[in-house]
Amino acid sequence: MDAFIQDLIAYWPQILAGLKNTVVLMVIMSVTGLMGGVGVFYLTLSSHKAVRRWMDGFISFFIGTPLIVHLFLMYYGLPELGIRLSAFTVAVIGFTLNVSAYNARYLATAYNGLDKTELEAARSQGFTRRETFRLIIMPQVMRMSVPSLTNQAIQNLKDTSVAFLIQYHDFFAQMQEVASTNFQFFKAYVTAGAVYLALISIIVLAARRLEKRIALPGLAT
Amino acid sequence: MTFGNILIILAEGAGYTVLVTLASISAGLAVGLSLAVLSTLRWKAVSLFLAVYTYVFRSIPVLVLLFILFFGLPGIGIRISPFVSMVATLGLVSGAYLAEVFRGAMAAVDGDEILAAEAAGLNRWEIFFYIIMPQMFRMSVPGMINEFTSVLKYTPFAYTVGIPEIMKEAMSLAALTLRGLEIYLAVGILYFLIYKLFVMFFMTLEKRFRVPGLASK
Repeated sequence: MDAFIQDLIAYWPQILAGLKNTVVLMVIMSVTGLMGGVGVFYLTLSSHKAVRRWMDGFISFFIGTPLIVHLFLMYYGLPELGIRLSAFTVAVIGFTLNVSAYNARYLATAYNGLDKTELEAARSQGFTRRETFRLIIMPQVMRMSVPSLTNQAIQNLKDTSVAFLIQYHDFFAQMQEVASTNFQFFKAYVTAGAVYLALISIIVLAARRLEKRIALPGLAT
Repeated sequence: MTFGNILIILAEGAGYTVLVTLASISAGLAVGLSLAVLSTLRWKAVSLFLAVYTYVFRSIPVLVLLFILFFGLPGIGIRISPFVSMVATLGLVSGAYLAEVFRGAMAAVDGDEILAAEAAGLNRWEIFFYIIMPQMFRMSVPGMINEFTSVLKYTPFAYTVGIPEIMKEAMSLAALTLRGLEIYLAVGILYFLIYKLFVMFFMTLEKRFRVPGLASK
């Protein structure tokens, strides 16, 4: 049998643990990023000008700066203040902020496409701001954003590979380990690429099902 | 060492960051444009190739692709420089995204105009260069800015292959002075400035070439 495959089998428990870490990180940041995104989006609709400004600043800062800088800032910078966080914690916080900014922007784009007279009608019917948000805005905006939100989930999975740069033992880090013991860098990295491809295919298929399920006849997305 | 000093030292690496970004954007535009042109041929084999290309390069993480090219290829006898592997990685990936942007914009060009051009005796290439491309580029501006921003944000990966850009300078400075907090904060500010400059530059470019009456979105 090919020596490389034998190595893969020998390192199997480690690789599997890495895969688990990758998937866990991806799932957590997709969920927290979605919640954060909804929160930031809600605040961008605030009646206070200062709050809106801060949220716009938040979104454009996190979209305009590389993720890895935020991770390095927390992982290598914060210990200076005596705050020592684990690679996992840093990854979750950094990714959540980043993904929230993107998701908030997608939701805002969908919001801009809403029929604003509906909101006026709701207000004149006596709906409070919060009720309008929860009952009129969110159901439509979430539906319209499904393609961009699932694209973001795909992006999240790919971005987990960045976490290995702050010593998080994800799948890619384990494949590095395999490569550095047998020096089969090409095979190891191509295998890693193929695994990411397979994982993403699963998300794509799931996303298609979701889109079909939540589609409302007559409401264009 | 003041915060200003840190910014000045890191700004030296900014030259490489901008260079890598511009080279990668050019490569991405070349790839994306070629793929978009190929897609107009409507040959079965070509469409299959395009579908596989976009799927693969949109699915593999940038860092993994960079490692395949820089650390992997020497294993099968191909050795490329850090700069070339970085630019090739970002060119291949952003090319896949840009091809989609261009295809969308091309589909938005009014078919009657193309018909009129054919009737007026323009050949395929003339139609592409004089009718489709000028409109396609204008309509692609938002998508292009998005993609260029992603390219800029992927450039810090260049430190992993040893290109002395902002991130690499920051890491050696942090190892020397142990003041990671200020240094990485300065890195964030630098990237944000470069990002703002890029966006401003493209916005001015878009304004300069805007045609009144032709929607840019």
